[in-house]
Amino acid sequence: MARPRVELDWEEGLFRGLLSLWHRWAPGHAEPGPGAVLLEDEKGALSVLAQLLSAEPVRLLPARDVGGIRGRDLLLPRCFDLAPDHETNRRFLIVRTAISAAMRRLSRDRPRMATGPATPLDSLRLAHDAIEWLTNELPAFAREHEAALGRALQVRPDPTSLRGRARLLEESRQRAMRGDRPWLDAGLREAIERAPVSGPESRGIPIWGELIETIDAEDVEHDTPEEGHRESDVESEVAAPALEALRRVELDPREKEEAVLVHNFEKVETLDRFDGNIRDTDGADELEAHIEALEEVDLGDLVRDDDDTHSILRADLSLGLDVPDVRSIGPDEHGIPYDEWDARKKRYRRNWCTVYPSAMRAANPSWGALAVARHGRLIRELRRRLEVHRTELRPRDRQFDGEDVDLAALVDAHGARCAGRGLDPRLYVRQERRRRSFATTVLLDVSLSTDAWVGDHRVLDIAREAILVLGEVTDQLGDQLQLLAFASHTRNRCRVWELKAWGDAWSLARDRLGAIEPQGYTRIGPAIRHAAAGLASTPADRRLLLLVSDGKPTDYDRYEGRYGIADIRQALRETERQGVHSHALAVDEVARAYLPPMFGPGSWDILTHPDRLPEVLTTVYGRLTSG
Amino acid sequence: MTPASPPTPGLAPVPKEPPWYRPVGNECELFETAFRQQVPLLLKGPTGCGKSRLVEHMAARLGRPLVTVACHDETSAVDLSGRYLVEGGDTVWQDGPVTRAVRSGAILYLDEFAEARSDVVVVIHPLTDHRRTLYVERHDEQIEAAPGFMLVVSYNPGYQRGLKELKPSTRQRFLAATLSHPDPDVELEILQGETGIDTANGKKLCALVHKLRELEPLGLAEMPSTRLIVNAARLIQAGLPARMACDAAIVESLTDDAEIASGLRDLVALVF
Repeated sequence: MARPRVELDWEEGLFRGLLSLWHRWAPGHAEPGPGAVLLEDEKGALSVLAQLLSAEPVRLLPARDVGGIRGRDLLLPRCFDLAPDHETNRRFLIVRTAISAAMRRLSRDRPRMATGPATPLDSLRLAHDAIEWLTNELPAFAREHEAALGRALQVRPDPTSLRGRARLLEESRQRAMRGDRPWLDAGLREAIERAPVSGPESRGIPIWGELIETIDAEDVEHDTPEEGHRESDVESEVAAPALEALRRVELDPREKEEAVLVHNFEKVETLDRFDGNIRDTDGADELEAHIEALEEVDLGDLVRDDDDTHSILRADLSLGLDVPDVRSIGPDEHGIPYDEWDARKKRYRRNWCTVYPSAMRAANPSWGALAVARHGRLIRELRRRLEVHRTELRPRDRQFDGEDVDLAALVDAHGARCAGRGLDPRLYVRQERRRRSFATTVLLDVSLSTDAWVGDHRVLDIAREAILVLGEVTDQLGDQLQLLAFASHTRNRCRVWELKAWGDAWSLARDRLGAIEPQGYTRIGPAIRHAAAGLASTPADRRLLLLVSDGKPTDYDRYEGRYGIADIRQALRETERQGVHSHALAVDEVARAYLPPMFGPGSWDILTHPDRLPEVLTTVYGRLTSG
Repeated sequence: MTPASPPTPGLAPVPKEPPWYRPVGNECELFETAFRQQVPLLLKGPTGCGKSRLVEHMAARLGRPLVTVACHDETSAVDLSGRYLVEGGDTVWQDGPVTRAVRSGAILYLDEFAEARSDVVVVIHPLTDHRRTLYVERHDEQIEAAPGFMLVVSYNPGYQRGLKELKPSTRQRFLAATLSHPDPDVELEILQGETGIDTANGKKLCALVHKLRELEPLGLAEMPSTRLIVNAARLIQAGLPARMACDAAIVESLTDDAEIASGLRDLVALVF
């Protein structure tokens, strides 16, 4: 990412130099040794292990320090460097993952009775219980843990080198590592609370990890500020470094109103605690100018605020909804260029449009559950209908065995016998099922025109319920389905959201489908070309593109009328050449002027009764995939 | 074009010693009662939980020959009832497995019955009620089942959800029993009965498979079965190192995904 040059005072520059030096040399920030294991390399295998031991889908996230468990998230050290060699480090990291997963399991099954935040002693106790559980469950765990623990004890600091609270904590941790149970000591608990905090801290135990306070996602969601602030204009986005723990920070309202300018150099004496000052929480899009400052921000602090957001620092927090906007393109997004057909000049405008494929992370599970319940009967009925259609039998001649005699073969055999030649014993006709593989992409128009109403329903709601029914049916039949939604904002910003990738579980796509909202314009050509390119590279006997849209081309930069229709018609010709068959469905009358000339006879349906769309969409699908 | 291969089940003699079977519940009593009362039996349960073994065991205990047909989605009525073969200039009738079992009063076991084509069900229906007859259409013959004939079908409910289900009209003709994965203690007994593995290794294998059955979040197609650890125990008994045995018999047979396999191996390493 290009970083803008910012004019700095010489003092500011000196401060930054000191800060980066500090990060390099301070304890806990040491450079990893040659045998270190990076979490990133092992994440896949470790998350399988963690899920097995916690018996639920957990997420592995990198931690800046020793990490621990935070609800369903297991935070593991980003870089594991306890032993000198790689192999041993990997073994130890497995032990750590197992302990974290077991801690998660135990903390879920028997929630902590105590109120108030978790203390380090609670962490030790939970880790101890987890180790006991693992030792019972996995015969070789004790041996592996013993080895890791021995090594971890060697590198603990001498408690006498620490002061105050840190010293008490270090003593407790070492006692626990030697098999003692310091959490039973009520006096110690109190002493730790009262002890003054000074000097270097006692780090958590890297092979155990800590119990980290969770911030209840529900709580955060329901805690939304007053109405009217919902619509936010996010203008830019950068990725944040990994984080470990979230603390809720109560912001003094006065502090917020007048974010005091603090000169960074004033902080030089407390360099080890520098976390980027308090920044103004409101503002226009100034992110570009603040990237350097943002890199210093301590992401562990969560601040609740009711002002509009104009810039986003994208961190792996996933507290709220997350739908990439059609108008803004993130700095690390890569667009795919597509040609567009210029009808007047009768030639392509090369690489004219840029399509940004984006994953859809937002989800609305309740919508899907309600819609499935509403259409349950229809889904069952359609599935049965398609299944019957699919399992039609077709005769295969000249079989060794079968339901009927193959007359032609019999005549041949008789002739052969009369001529004294050998006889082919394959004299039967056998009924067999036709089998073909299909790949289908559903392309859903989510432009603002779908915000219109037909009867009592919004166009987009009708369309997505229809897609939901189709998705349920294809999922039960085991067909391949991809689900894309598209909208555009000029030729440079055509966005295609992937609601369901080929391999995704349908249940995920259903949740995402519920979260999509109308936005932008309708530049259909690039979306069709993008979908067709994906389809063409998917192995299948037949490929099908279903467009759910009114078909009316509109975009900010005069993508309309004859020009737009000609481009879409050309895009459809290209898809046909790629072996992709396309079909369009619409519910509003607008479509009658557009779909027929573009799609040609028999390749479109416009429904006068929107309620029938779910049934018709799936029936069309069934018809097209049975031939 | 590949010709459909003709099924070739034979009537094997009844073994003197019934194959080893450790009952998990009261399925043996149920089987025997169903046999005495001449009611067909439906066995449900995940793959590798011992359905076929139960049938073999009971057939031998009851002293009946056993005819097993593994059904697949091209299994047709013709395959089961019989056909004419062309030999030289003549045609010769050959009984299918069902016809043979009905004539000889054997126990007929249709494995994965739901997979078979719907015309098979029509053939089976008159055998499942008071008529106990088989009509061989092509031969135009009505065969009454010999005493001792019993129909047992198996079906795996979790498999291919929603696609292959038995029709209610078929299901209600059967007594039904569900076999499930055994408790760790029973599983250890089964493992030792099957392979004679020592208690220490046997316990480890049972602990491993018990953990693996919590696999649901990984989205594997099928739960790991007792069969998997029986195979692993065989390899260990044959002298293979334990981790290698688990790798070949369990990890590799559960998944093709390299990352999941690596995670499963890590778990094996925490057990052995």
